[in-house]
Order: sequence, then C-alpha cells, then structure tokens
Amino acid sequence: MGGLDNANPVVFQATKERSVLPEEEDDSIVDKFDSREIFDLIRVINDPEHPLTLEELNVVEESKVKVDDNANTVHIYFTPTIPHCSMATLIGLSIRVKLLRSLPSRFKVDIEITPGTHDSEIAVNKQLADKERVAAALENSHLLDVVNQCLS
Amino acid sequence: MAASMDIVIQKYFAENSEEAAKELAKDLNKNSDRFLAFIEQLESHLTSTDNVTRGRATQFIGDVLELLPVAFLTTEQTEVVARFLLAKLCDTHSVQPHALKSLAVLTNRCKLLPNGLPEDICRTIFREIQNQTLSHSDRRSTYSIFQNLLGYSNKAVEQMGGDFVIGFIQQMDAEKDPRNLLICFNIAHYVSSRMPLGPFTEEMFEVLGCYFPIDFVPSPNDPQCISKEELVSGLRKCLAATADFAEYSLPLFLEKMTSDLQEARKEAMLTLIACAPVYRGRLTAYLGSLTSTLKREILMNISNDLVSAARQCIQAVYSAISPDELVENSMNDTLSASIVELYQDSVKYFDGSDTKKSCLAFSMFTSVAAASAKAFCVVTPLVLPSLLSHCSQSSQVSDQLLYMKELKDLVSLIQQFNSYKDVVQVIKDNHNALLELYETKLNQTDNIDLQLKSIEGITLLTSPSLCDAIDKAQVFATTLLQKSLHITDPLLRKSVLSSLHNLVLQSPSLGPDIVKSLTQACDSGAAINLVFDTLVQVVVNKDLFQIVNEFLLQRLSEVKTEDVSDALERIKSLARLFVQMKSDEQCVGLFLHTTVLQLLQSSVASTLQWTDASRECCALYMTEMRNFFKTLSQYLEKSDIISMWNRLTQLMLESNTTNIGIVGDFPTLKPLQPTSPWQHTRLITLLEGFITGGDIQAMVDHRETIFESMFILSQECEDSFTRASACRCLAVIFNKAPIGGEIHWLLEPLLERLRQALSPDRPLMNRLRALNTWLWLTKASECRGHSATSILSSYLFALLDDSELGPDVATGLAMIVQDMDDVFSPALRSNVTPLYKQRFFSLNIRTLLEGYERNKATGRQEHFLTAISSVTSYLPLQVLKPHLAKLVPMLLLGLKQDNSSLSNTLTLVSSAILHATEEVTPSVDELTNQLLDLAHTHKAMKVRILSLQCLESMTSLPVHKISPLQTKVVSNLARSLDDKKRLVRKQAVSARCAWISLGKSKK
Repeated sequence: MGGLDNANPVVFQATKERSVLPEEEDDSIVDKFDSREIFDLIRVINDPEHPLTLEELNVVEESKVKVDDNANTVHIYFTPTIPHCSMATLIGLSIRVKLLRSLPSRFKVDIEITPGTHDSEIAVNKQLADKERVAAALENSHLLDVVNQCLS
Repeated sequence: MAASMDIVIQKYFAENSEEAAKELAKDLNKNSDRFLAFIEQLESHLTSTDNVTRGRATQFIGDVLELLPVAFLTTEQTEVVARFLLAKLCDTHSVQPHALKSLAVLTNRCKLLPNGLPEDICRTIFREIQNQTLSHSDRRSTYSIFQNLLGYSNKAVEQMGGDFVIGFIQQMDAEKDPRNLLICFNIAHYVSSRMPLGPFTEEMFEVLGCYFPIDFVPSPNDPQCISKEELVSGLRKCLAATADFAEYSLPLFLEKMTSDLQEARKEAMLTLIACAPVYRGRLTAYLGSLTSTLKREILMNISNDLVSAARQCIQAVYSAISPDELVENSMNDTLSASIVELYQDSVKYFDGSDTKKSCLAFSMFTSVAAASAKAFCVVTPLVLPSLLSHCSQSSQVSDQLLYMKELKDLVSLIQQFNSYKDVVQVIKDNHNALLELYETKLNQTDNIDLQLKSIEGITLLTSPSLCDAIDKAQVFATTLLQKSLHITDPLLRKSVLSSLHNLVLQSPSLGPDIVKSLTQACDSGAAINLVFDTLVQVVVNKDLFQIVNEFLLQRLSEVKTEDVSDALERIKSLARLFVQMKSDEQCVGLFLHTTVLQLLQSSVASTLQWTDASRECCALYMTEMRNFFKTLSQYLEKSDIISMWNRLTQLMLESNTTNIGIVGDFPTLKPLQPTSPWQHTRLITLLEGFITGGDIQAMVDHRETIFESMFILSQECEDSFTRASACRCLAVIFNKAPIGGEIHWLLEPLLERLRQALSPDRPLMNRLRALNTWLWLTKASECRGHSATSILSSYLFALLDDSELGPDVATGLAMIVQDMDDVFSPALRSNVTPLYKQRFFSLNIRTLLEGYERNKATGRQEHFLTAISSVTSYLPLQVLKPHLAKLVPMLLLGLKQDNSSLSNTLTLVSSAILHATEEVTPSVDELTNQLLDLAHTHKAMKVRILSLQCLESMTSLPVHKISPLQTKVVSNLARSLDDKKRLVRKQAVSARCAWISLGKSKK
C-alpha cells in the first residue's frame, strides 16, 4: 500500500453523548427514529486510514442524515475528505454494513456521496446502491475483516 | 578456670568455632578481667609456626570481640590488641585477611581509639594490603575499617588529608563487588564532600566515574539483595559531593546524554539534576552544549520519561546558574544570554506547522522559566506573544487545548514567584492580552475543557497580587455569574462556583453586588436551583451569610401548598448554607435563633393548610424538612443538640408552640397521637431527621416516651407516610441506643407485641404494618451487629412459610442488604459494623436454600426464590462466589419471576457472567433463551436494557461454548432493534454487534 491519500486531515470536534430526556425514560412513550439516532450509529465508525472517527473527519454530519420513520426510509450523504479519496467506497460500505446490523429490516437505506465532493461520485453511488455487489463484497473475507475493523 | 578456658580454645580450633566463641564471650562478659588471661591462653596459637593456626587465632580475637558489649575493652587494652593486629597485617598473606576481619570488629566495637592509632591503622593498611588481590569478603573488611574510622575517629582521619585520599583510591580502585561498592560509594561521598581532594580530584573522579552509568542486574539468589537503585543513588551522591568534580563529570554526562542507550541518557540527566545545585557556576562552561543536548532530547519526544527527565534537567541547570537575588533586568548576564540563544535556536518550532513540536518547545521554555524568577522574567516576554497567538489562532480545538495547557503551565508559575515585583510586572505587561484571550475562549466556545482552562487562567489573573484594579475582578465576577446561571455540566459548574467563591474571598467588597444581582436574577425567571446554588457558594462571611439567609427565608413563612418546588429549593439551600458556615460560631448562633425557628414555625403553621389534594406536596415538603434537620443535628455541638431536642419534644409531647415563637392561640397539636389528623402526625418527620443526624447521647429527656409513641404510630396511624417515618425513627433509636441493658429493656416488650400483631389470626393490614416495623428493626440490629439479630432474622425467615406474608417478607429482605446511607451511616453517628451485609448473607443463605428445597411441594418455594434474588442482588460478587454453583440455577429461576427485584437479579447475572464464567457456562443455553425472551417481551424498559446488557456480557464467555448460539441470538436480537424505546435500541445495537463479531477480535 502506498502513501496515505490524505496524510494530514483536518480534525473536527466530536459531539457530546446524546443526553437522555425524561420522556425517553418513560416506558409509555414511543421514541421515533430520528436523524441523531442514525448519526450516533455511524459517527463512531473508524476511518480506514486514520485513527479517527468519521465524525472527527467530518465525513458524516447529522444534517446530512435524513430519516422518515413512518415511510421507513433513511438517506445518508457522506463527504470524503478529499475529492480523489480511494477509500470512499470502503467508507460507504462500512456505513451500509453498520446500518444493516443496527437498523430494523423495515428501513430502506440509501447511502450516497455528497454531490460534488468526489471525482467518481456516480460510480461509487452506483456500487453502494447495488445490493448484489454489496452482498458479494461481504462474502470476501478479507474485505469483511477491513470493514469489521472500521466498525470495531 | 584457666583449664576451662583452654578447653574452649581447643574447641574453637578443633570443631565448632561459633559455639566456642559464644561460650568464651559469655564467660568474659561475666568477668572482664579475664580478657588478659584469654590472650595469654591464646599465646601458643598466636605464635604458632603454622600459618593456618596463627590466622585462626588472630580471627578468634575478632570473633570474641564481636560478641562482647561495645566499649568492653579499656583504651589500653584496645591499643595493645590493635597494635598486635597491625603487626599481624605485616605477617604472611594468609594471616592478613584474619587480621583485617578482627581489626574491622575492633574499630566497630571500640569507638574511642587512642591518639595516633587511627592514622597508624590506615597507613599500615595502605602499606601492607594489596586490597584487590583479596577475596570480596576480605575487601569488605578493609572498607569497613575505613568506614568505622570515618564514623568514630573522623578528625584523625581528616588530618591525614591527601594521604588518606590517595590511599583509599588505591584500595578501592577496580572494585567489582556491588556489596563492597555500596560501602565504597559511602566512603567516597564522605571523603569528597568533607576533605579537600587537592591534586587527587581527577583520580577520585576516575575511580568513581568508571562506574557511570550503573548497569547492574541483581542476581536472583543474592542474599544481600542489593538493588540497582541503591547503587545508582550511591554513585549519584558521590558525583554530587563536590563542585570540583564538575570539570570531569560534565563532559562525561554530555557524552552519555548523546548515547544511543535511552537508559544511559536518562541516568545522565537524572544525575545532572542531582549535581547541578552543587556545581552551580561550574556549569557555565558547558551551558551551550548542555542546553542544546537537552533541547534535542525534549523535541525528539521518544518517551514521556525521557522528556520529563530532560525538562527537569534543563530546569535544574538554569536554576543552578541563576543568581540568588533577582538583579535588575539586564540581558547581558550568562543566564539571559543563554536563554536568548536557546530561544533563537528554537524559534523555528513556534511557527505552528507541527503542533506537537511547538508544544514540546513551549513546555521546554516553561521548564526554563520555572528555574528561577530571573529566568521567568527573561523567558516570558520571548515566548508568551507567540503562545498567545497560537492559542487564539489555532483552527482546531484539540490544538487550542494543547496550547492552552502550555499557557496555563507558564502562567501558573506566577504563584511560585509572586513575591518578586519584576515577575509580577512581566505578567502585568501582558495582563490585558491574557485576559482578552481567556474571556474570548470562555464566552465564544462550547468546548468544556477550553472553558475550564480559561476559568483557571482568569482566576489566577484576577488574584489581588496581579490585579490592582477591582473593575477587572468585577467584570470577571459578572461573567462567572452569568455562566453560573445556566451551566449544568458538573465539572464546569464546580470550577465556575469555586472561582466565584475565591473571587469573593479575595475581594469581599464584590459580595453584596453579586448577591444582589443573583436575587434579581431569581425574580427575572432564572432557574432557581442554579441561582440558590450560586448564592450559597458566594457566602464567605457573616454579612453575606445574613443577607443570603434572609433572602432564602423569604416566602418560607407561607408555603404554597399546591406547588412546593420553590420552598424545597430554599430549604435545601439553607441546609447547604449551614454546612458551608458551620465553623463560624456567630453564623451558627444566628442560624439556630432565626432560621431554624422560622422553619419550625412554617412547618407547624402549614399543618393548617395541607389538604387531601396536597398530600403529595406535603410529603415532599416534610421529606426536605427531615433532611434539613438531619444535616442540622449532624454538625451541631452537644449543648445545641440538647436545647433543640427539648424544644422539639416540647412541641411534640406538650404541643408547646410558644416555645418556637408562634404567638397567639394556635390549635392544639398532637403529632404523636395516631388518631390525630395526618397533617399533624407528619410533623414527627422533623424529629426523625433530628434523631437520624445527631448524637443520641444528647437526646436524653423523654427518649423512651418518644420511642413508645413512635411504635404506636407505626402500628396504628392511618397515614402511610407517618408510619414509614415512625418506623425509620424507631430503627434509628434502636441502632444508636447506648450499649447496655437499655436496649433489651426497650426491645423485649416491643418484639412481644409485634409477634402478637403478626399472628395469623390478626387482620392482614395489621400484620403488614407489624412486618414492616420488624424489617426495620432487623435492619437496625444487623447494622450494629446486636445480639438480638439472630432472633429477629430467624423469625423473618420463618415468616417466609406464611402464605399471606411470605411474598412481602421475601421482597422486604432486600432492605436488609441495601445501603441506606441517608439513615444509617458512620457520618450520621450510626452504629454500622463493617461487612454486616456479607455476614447476614453467609449466615442465612443456607436457610434460604434449604427452605426452597423443603417447600418445592407446597408451592411456597417462590417466596424463597424471591428472597434469594432479593438478598443476592445487593451484594458484591466476591461474597457470592463460593456459593455461585448453587446460586446460578436459582438466579435463572428467579429470572422467570416477574417481581421488583428482577432488574437487580439481572445486574447480578451480568456480573456473574463476567466474573464467574465457570459457574455460568453450564447454564448458557437456558440463560440465553430467558434473556432473549425478557429483552423482547418484558414490559419494563429497564429490564429489557439489562437483559440486553447480559446478552452482550455473554460474548465474553468461552467462544466454543457460545458460538453454536450465535445465529439464533443475532436473528432474535433483530427484533429488539425495532423496540419502541430508543435506549433499548441503543443497547440492542451494542449487543447485536458484539454477537456478530464474536471471536473476530481475537484473530
């Protein structure tokens, strides 16, 4: 493996843990899925290159996570740190796997690169949206190990 | 006699030398005159032609002397023996070691040596002994002789001057044995520090320096157990003994500081730290090389240890060359010139391109500044502007934090040097820039760490020594005040409040204004708990105490019965105010005469206002009052407790309301009568609080009457709040009652009445009330480890068989093993025996297990199961461990029961999974099923979360045992991902991910 794509990335501050509201502790109230909940799931994913999380690198942002609990949809835009980042697909795949493991199956999850932030945006988006390619990728044990490392 | 001595001497030579020496010493000790006879008897051996016999005879003298008391020999005898031994040193080489040994003993046991003898001993040894040709133990004798002489006859030895120095150097040269080296280092330290080394300085250094740095690994079988640290510290002391070594040792240190071995570098720096204060001015010649080497070490940042040693070292070096007095600010001296040079060398690191390097360079200059006031004055103007600009301009918070830490370290040095006016001036020159930076960080960032650092910085800068102008402190106070009204983060809040407290302490004139703005903030709708919290914190003297006390008491005279939240906060804050000022006698007096009386009045007056609709509010209000009285009595003097107790009992027993300052007619109160309205009976909570906190020895009058009344209330009162309070009060009195017959006298009749009330023919309601009282008394008794404990607890276990009371007993048992620090704790002067819960468990677990087996057929085994989960849920796992094999199946059965202790049982199961793997593993299948079931179906969210936590902990069990369950668990947990509660979903994600990656982390 050659040098890092982005050797000296800008580090952003991580948000604090979500504070627990009284209604969240009330058994009788139903808590809907919201963007912060999804963001909390993906913000802790490690970057494949740096010992930093996707949140600290500003790859994922809460404002770019859209959730509609009633319509069972989740839409996420992520922003690679540099336009030629070769890890973009891997990051997208990690987000997808994390959500596959953490969200109920009723949700339809779309993961895309923030428009205009990557050179091969369309190709990557296509790969990430292709169920069969994702399934095939996850059967590759080496790739799965790399994804698991990002998720651990 | 002579014959017997002869036999002993023969014995020495023939067989057991140790035994013979002991026997002879015992004989000589009884009769000191016989020493001469001993030497005479030994004559033939001492003059024997056989070298071995002669040698042993010479040593015999030493062996015997060692067993005799100190100063046993007269001066004359000492001289004769010593001269004889010196003559033996000139004997053949095989006799020399024996003579040395005896001489070592002689110099140790005979402290007063005749004039001239010490010198003769030294000179003879120097002349006759080739020390390094001897064995290590014989060499030790030589060193011991020198050590003894330096200890007892130092004057004589010191007079020898250079002769002794060179003689010793020759003797110790090339010593290899670590045990001997320790003695040598000791002697060398003495010689180098007390005697002029003259022309032999270099020789002395050479003989010591060759050991530097010490590399020694103790042998595992070494009986003397010499450690590397002892040798290192011995050599370090030698090298730091005199400044004369500087010209030789500094080049050596410099060489080692550039070595490839980290250990050597570290050792060189640590030794230089020890030497620097002695070498002082001699360091100047090597200053440039030393500082650049140390700078390199710091910037290389290889390990924290090395960086810290290098920083200490550079501080020690600059501290050593700093003048004692802070002279006028001239930049022409060596110190300033060197610092400026160092700065010019390092300035390239301050450009901020590499934060880590910049911070290391800043930290180096902080260490230099810490060396002396002068160094601080030189460093600060050089470094501070660039540090300030990094702090304010750095784009990333993490970098800002690192720079802010360096800034704080530098500015904090002011505390060390604030007596020097030049230093103060240096900070004052930058005062505005610093304050501006801190204020910006405090007000414009959300980062808590940055805010904390800013508050620390401003607190330092607004201290009176640095800030003459009160207006700056005032501005800061206002900022803190605003912060205190909305910050809830505990750490930041603590820092804000303690800074505010210090600020008012330093400038008390700020106090009234702060209090005024706080009271206004209260009226303008700020959160009252935060306002009151801040108000209490700023009270530092009697005047402020009065103002705040008066403010808090406002509106307490008339309680709004429909909303008591304001009153509760006020009472809570009054208690805190009392604790804050409890050491001020005047404030305590004021508090007792105004505040406490007013609180009593308002609680009595409010009895007229509570209605059935405001029962809950009344309970909250009275609970806060209880806490107030508990805090009050906890810190009161005995005499104050007595007078307050009398006042309270008069109110309760005699309805004496004038005593608490209520004027005019007030309806008769009978709080201790069970038939009184609940508004009245709830007043006993005040009494309960007072008894809980205070020393019961001071509450003598009417104590038995109160005890009896409380018992009746606990059984007959219709109000459950009053009954609970009465039970607690009874338990506290029982727990605190003085040791002696009184307890039995109080308890016996009470227990008899309770037994009657508990009998099956009584109505269930009465039985439950009696049971509750019984449980409280058992808790009180267990806490103090009273002899009645076994009677009380065995009766409870018998009640588990009762079909009516069994379930209540089973859940009630949890109370006995629960911590109740607000009722029983050493701080409240309760009798709490250590480990009482563990003892209760160990003594009774067998009964519970047997009861379960016995009742399997009757259907009452569930009571025992609940009791087991109740008792085990509150105990540390270590206590349960020996019983876990039996308990785990019970706990699994307990999981099937839906009762209040289910969540506690789950907590216990979770820790059992983590810490008692072997006991849990056999039941893993059943456990998984139950946990999955609970996680999905249980109605309580807490139980669902705990079940999921248990499932997550299960992944720590041996992989081969749980991997067959993986598919099932992962697919079942998918259901919990769609739980209606977010907190459950969060835990489900964590558990599911742990199961998915099962065994993968170990790859």
